[in-house]
Amino acid sequence: MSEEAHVSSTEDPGRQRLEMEREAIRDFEACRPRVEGVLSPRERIQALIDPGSFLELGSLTRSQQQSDGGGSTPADGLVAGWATVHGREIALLAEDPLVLKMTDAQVAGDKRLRILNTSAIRGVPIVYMADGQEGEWAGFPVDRGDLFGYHRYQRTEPVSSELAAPLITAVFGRCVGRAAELLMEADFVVSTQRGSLSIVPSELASEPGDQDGLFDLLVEDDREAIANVRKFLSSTPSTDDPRALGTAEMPRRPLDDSLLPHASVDDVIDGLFDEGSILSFRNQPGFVSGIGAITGHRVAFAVTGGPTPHLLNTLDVTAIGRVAHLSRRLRMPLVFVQDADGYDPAAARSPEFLRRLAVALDEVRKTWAPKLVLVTGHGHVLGSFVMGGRQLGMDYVMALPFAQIAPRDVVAFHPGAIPGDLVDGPWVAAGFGHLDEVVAPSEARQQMATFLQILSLGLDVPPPEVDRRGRYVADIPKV
Amino acid sequence: MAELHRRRNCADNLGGVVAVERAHARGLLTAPERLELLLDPGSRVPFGTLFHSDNLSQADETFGDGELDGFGTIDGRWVAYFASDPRVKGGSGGPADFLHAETFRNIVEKAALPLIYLMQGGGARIDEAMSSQFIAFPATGMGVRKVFPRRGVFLTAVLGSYYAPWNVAQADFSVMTESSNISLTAPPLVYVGTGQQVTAEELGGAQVQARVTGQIDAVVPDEVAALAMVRVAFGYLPSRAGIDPPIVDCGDSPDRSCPELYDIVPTALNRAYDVRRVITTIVDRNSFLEFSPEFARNLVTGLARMNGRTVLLIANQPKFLAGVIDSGAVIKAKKIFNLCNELDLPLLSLVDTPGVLPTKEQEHRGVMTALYEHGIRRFRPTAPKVTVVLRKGVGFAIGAMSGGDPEGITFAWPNSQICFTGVEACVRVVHRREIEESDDPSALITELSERYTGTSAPWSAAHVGYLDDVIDPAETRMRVIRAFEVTRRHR
Repeated sequence: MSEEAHVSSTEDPGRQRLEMEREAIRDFEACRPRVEGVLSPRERIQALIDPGSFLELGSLTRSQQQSDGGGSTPADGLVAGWATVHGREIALLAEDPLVLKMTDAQVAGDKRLRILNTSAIRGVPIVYMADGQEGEWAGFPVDRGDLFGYHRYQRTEPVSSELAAPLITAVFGRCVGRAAELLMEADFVVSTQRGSLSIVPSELASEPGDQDGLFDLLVEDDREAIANVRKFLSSTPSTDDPRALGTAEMPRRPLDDSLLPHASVDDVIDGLFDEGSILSFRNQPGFVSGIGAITGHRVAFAVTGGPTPHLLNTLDVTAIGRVAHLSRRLRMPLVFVQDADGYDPAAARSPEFLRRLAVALDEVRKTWAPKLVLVTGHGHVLGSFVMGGRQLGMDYVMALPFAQIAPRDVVAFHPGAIPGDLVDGPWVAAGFGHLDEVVAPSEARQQMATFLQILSLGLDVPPPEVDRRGRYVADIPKV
Repeated sequence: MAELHRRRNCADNLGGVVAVERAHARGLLTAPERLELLLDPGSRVPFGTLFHSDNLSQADETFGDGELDGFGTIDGRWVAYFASDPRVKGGSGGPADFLHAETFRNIVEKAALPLIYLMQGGGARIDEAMSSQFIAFPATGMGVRKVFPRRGVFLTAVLGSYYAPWNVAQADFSVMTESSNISLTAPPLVYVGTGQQVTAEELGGAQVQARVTGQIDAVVPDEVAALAMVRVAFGYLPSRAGIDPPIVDCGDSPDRSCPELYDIVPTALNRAYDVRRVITTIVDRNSFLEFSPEFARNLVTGLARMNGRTVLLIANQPKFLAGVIDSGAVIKAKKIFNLCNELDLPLLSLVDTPGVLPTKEQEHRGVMTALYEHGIRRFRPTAPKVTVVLRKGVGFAIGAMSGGDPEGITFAWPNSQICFTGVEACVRVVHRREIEESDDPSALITELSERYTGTSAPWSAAHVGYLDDVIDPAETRMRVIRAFEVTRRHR
């Protein structure tokens, strides 16, 4: 019998073993209890990726601490590999809540580290589908008193550093411990109503749902979460070419010069952004944040507005920090459109507000991507510092002719005064260079697009290094 | 909206028809007219059009506060521009400019854009700068930082009287019109400070800059020519460090043989010739753009293209001072080496020099330090460097011309002489006593000279690899192009 005939034979013991292993996985999947609206890890992967594009890493892996031959621990609870979404390569990690009810098994940890490392090297975004359920540390049973394999988790994970690949997370259940730590460092977090993240054990963890702004986006079920991850991937720039443009679409309802002061957020978004490009993270009356596109330039944004002057609260500044974070990590231009009177006095007294504001300010300051501001109404304190202060490095600030620019909320600080009596619209600010341009509403989108184009020319050049005294250290050419 | 239109109308018509007629009567263009000539049609994007001076009562008359900033394209490539606007306070700059200028500079830096200055004006506005707040000016008013690697190219055109010309000092290429002048300070201030009476032309006129200081790369008859020159020079340069300049097909084969070089360069070491003829023969046809042709004429520098790609050029000029290296030549070469270093442009060096000018005046001018600094500078560039020794390469001067650079490629023509000092000087110093005691000193000098001439031929250096090759003059163009190809950085 030739070798070729031998290996193709169904009697081949190797092929039989392979079939047996695969059968065990199929059996495990077949026995999986079904809950309406909840997908299995492999179903989630298939719903996310381009059909047929999944290349699994370690498809036959299993837990090394169980004695049942691996039948109960397929993939050691973490399905991993690479695939494409809209043709763009991604790395995948999908937790299985039925395998040992945990996310930190030894073999799974190895796979996770490999995915993180290879993604960091190649700049490929990572999609982490988290569903750790109870999050027990079954891999390291305390009653056995050993630290078998624990050293594997003491290696540096390339997450959150400036060079790490973007980490996109979908949370489908409770995630506890190290997995939750990792996910909290993610660049984008979408969760279903069943999702929660906690460092502490489940009995101490908070209830599922929106954990006070911890998630960028909260959705109903698995399919909606996955659809938003797909949209996020199609809305963010490629890591290989930060200047890559999407297709420029016309806005839904272009702004015209009949626009009135204090227009609604929806009117402003419909008039400035390409139709169908918006993926909103926080969407409340008077405040919307997310990612979108302006004449094909993908941007992270926050928009305030509406018939009554908006005051930024704790969740608003958290959301601003998140889009600024995306801007920094993905080198996406940051666009603020503001009609705000500053901070909500009730929220601003809270230490939590101040802490989140500090994070947001830091993120806005740090992003080296282009930063543009359009003031559509009240720009008091330029709509509060976090949304447009020059000291945070805003590159281009413009206003509509009826904008009111003042150092503080005129009405709040001068009871009884009419704003127009104390401030001069945008003209003084423009005259002194605090604003770079005053534009008619019908010109705003094109003006923003032009400066997005100009400023994006330098996106692929590394930012200059700055020393502790804030001085450029790269001023002297390297010899 | 009505107020927006009113203000824009004021900004567009600063000074009215009178200001336009006044400028034209002096043979000058207005700032908007200059920008029309500089930029591609319809590409101009003004920046901060409603910015004005600190004085609110003069807002309508001072839009721009003496400057027009913005962006546009030249041959499709984005540039930033900064144009003096003499319609407002003579084009001088006041304290109000600081914030505006800082914002503009930030955009230029962030986008790593090329920046083009069109200058005509009085420098700092003296009355508004008479404040201790002036201390902030040097930090903010002295041009864009050359931040690496976010470093766009800088070009400056001087189109009238212009004082405190920092952007000439930092320019990668500068041009001025024959009737313009630049100086750090103005004649009235010179008189008050020193009692010296000088005219603006004597202080820093075009001829002074072209012949004496070397601070300007080109002098042209008028503004139209100056703006055209800026466009031409920009065509040779990359938009910023780290990217390639445009490739321009000159229709000149890279394999073109150059037998005419046999006739251009005399074999006799002491015969003069014009090295420009060598340059124009080697590089792509009609592509040579010379820098400061009237300054330090013993060294020729400039930009050219070879096989469509930009190269920097430095060449000894045997027609003047036999092509020696002196302090003026070092100043002139410094510009080329800086461009090579900062913009990563390839460098072609053509060597034919009898050495460093050995005079008392040169020693007193500090030629030793200048040469040392130049020697350090020449090793900085990591861009491709190709050197061709045409005839003589003597002493420290050959190093100053980038010859023998271990990171570069060095060729020599077959009849070249490379040695520590001139052959006759060597003989007279080393064999002084023998010559003094000789019955026929002249014959002895000739005999000894022949011996040293033999050892100075390129062959021994080529045999040990200090020269990369000895090439036929007719092959020079194709060999240099090939050398640049194999050493070009892959981006």
